[in-house]
Amino acid sequence: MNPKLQPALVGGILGAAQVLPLPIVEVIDCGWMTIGTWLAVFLYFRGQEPSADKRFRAGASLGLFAGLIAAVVCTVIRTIGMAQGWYAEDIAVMQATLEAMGAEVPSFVPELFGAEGVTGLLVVSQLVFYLVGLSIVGTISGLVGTAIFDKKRG
Amino acid sequence: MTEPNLHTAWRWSLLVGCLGAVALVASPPFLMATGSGYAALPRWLLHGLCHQLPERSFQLNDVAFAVCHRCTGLYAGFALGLAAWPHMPRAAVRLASNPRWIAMFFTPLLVDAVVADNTAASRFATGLIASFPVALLPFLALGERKSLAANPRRRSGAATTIPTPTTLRRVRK
Repeated sequence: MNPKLQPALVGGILGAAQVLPLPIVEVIDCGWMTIGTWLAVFLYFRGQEPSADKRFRAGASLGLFAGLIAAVVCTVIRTIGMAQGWYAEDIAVMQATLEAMGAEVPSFVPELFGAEGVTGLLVVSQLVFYLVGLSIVGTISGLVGTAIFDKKRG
Repeated sequence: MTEPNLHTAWRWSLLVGCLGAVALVASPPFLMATGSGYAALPRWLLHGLCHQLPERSFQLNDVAFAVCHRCTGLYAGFALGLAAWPHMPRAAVRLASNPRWIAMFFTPLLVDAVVADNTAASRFATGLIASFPVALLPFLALGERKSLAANPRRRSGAATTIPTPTTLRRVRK
C-alpha cells in the first residue's frame, strides 16, 4: 500500500470538515484543509526514516493527494447538505447579494449558488471548484507542513 | 539542506497564476462598475476558501472584494514572495537551511486572529507577513526536482555515489 494513502485519507477527511454547516467550523474555512494537511504530513514523516532528498516534493504531493480526497468528500457532503436544506441561509444571503448588485445576472449563476436545488451543473461545478481550490491549498499546506515537521530540518 | 532553485522557469508560471488569483480577489468592484452580471462569479469561485463577510473585506465603491482582509493579505504576500525571493538569494539560503523558522511568521497572524479588537490593517498585514516566506517553499521543492533531473540514477532508486554540491559541502565541513 502507498505509505501516503492513510495520512492523506486522514488529512483529506479532516480538511473536508469545512463544509459542515456549524458556526464554529465555518469561521476557520480553508484552515481545516491546512490543519488536515499538516496532520497528514506529521503522520507521514513520523513513520519515515530521515532522508535529505525529496522531502518537499513528498510533502507537496501528500498535500495534493489530501486536497483531492477532501474535494471529493466535500462535494458529497455539500450535495447531501443542499438536498437536505443545510445551506438555506447561505443561499438566501447569496440571492440577496445578487439582487443588490442590480446588474442582469446570467441565468446559470443562481444555479451555481444552489438557488435552484441540486442540479447536475451544481454538482459538477462544486466538484471542479473543490478539486482546484483544495488541491492548491493542500499542496501549499503540505510544503509548510514539511518545513515544520520534517525531522531533518530545524 | 535543499538548495532553492530561485531562477526556475516555473517561477513565472507560479507568479502569473498567483497574480491572477490576486486579480480575481479584487475583481468584483471593477466588474460591478462595468455593469457585468458576472461580478458574482469571483465570490462564488472563492466561497469555499473564505467566509467572505463584507464587513471584514476591503471595499471599493461599496462593493466587497471576493475574500476577507486576512485572505487578501495571504494572496498578496505569496505573490510578493514569489517576485522577491529570487532577488534575495542570501536570505533564501538562510531560510532554506532552517525552514522551520517559517512557523514564526505565522505567530502574528495567530495572535491577531484571537485578539478581539483587530483591525483591517492588522488582518491584512499579518496575512502578508505569514505568506511571504511560504513563497520560498515552491522554490525548494523545484530545487529537489532539479537535483533529481540532474542525477537520473536516483530516479530508478539505484544506489549512487555521485556527490552533489550539497553533499560535497557537507563533507568538506
